[in-house]
Amino acid sequence: MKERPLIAFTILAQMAVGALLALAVMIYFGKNLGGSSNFYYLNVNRYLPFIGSAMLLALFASLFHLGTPRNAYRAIANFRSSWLSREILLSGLFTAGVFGLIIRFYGHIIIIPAFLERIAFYFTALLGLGLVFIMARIYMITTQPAWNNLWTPVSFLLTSLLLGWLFLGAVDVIGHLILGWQSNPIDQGLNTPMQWLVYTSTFFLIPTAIITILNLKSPVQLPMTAFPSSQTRRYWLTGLRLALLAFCGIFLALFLVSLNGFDIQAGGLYLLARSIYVLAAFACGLFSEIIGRYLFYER
Amino acid sequence: MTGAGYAFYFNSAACSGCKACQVACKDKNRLPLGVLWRRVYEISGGEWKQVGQAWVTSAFAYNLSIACNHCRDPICKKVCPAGAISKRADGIVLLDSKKCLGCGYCAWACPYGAPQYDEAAGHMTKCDFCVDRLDSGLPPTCVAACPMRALEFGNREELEARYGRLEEIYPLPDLEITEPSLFVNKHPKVGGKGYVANREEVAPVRKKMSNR
Repeated sequence: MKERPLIAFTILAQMAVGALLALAVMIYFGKNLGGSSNFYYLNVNRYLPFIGSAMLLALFASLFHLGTPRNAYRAIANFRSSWLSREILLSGLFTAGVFGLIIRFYGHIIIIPAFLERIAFYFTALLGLGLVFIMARIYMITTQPAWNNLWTPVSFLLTSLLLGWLFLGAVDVIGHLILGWQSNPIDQGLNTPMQWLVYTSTFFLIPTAIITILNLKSPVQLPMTAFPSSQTRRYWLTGLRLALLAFCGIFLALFLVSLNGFDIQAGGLYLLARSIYVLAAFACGLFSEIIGRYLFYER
Repeated sequence: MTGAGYAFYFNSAACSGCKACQVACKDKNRLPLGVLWRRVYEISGGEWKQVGQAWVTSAFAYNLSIACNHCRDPICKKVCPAGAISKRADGIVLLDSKKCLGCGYCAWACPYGAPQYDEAAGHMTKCDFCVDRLDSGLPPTCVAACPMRALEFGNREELEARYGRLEEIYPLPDLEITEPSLFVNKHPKVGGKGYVANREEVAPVRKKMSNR
């Protein structure tokens, strides 16, 4: 029974949910901002396998938390009262939804009207949002006062949004650099998906940093089940986390600054530099969230 | 057992902290290192103050012997994803190790630290009120082992009629969380500002395991 697999599960699953939410928001606002909300224009299908893989990896990691993994099939047996059962159920439904979308976009097996396609996409995104809140609800039990407050769902949601946004950016970079993705003609401004992702993800950094600072104080524990934790270590790890968040912001800012005078035809070093900024931002954000989740479980 | 089911009674005023109950339980159930179904908490507090030429002490200590309280509203049963925890008609809360995933959620949820993880077995374990001994007409082994006769067991309603309702006693959590089937005779020193002095000894297994 260990918490490290839980760190992996919650981080990866929340990241996957955030990435799908980002796609859903891009499609919706793309339509309203005069840009295209066409799935194929935005190449939504390219990102889905990565999101699905992250979820599968999350579910696989969660098995290592169990003392008896062979009984894992029983995990949804008590969904009537156990939030943990509900989490597993919704994880499965969300993963199934993502892979259903993958099959639809790649297999073209099912012919459905475009509006139903859109509804299926938004519905899966909502399932993911529900999953994040159910994950938080698991920890909001009376006997864990350190977790039983609004910061738990807020911080889980922020993890999802920050990492999901950054993950999409990183996937986009890897796709273009390694997988040979071709970009569609880019219209300037917020309609450019990558720019929009980077621009908006900076807004998640500040609330994340604020919550990190607020969680510095010693955790409240029930006296019968309390165990000592090192406050000095909390301070050091919190400092490291804040530093990583700051670096994440710096790399995102460098990316945005580098867009000035950007010419898609330039390619070469410009593309490489901006790719490094996005990947570095994702790495900093990911490690920051891993530290944050470790501190969460230590409470 | 009819009526409200089984319950424990603990006389804190009589307890010497010898931990015979703890040892007897560990021996009878062959519990591995790090697993304690019954835990004896030592609560200490107070201070020494100089009053004129004299030193006056308010130091105190008392013990609480706590196992699973087989609560009327067991939170462990609600949160277990596998449905491995059940409450019998006689009030005893049992954990079915064949169904247990070993996820440890019940340990997080229980305010008394009752469910304990057995690393070698890969699943949770907890006090079962010595149901095998009860079936043979014998008392639970902890009750039988106590040299001070500080532990009793019986029908919850009868114990409540004899000893009154359980009051808030540090470090017991809010009784309304799970409604424990437990009655305690308070030690005279209960009420002073104390702390659990042997936390490392009774610390939940979860923390011990994560330190490895």
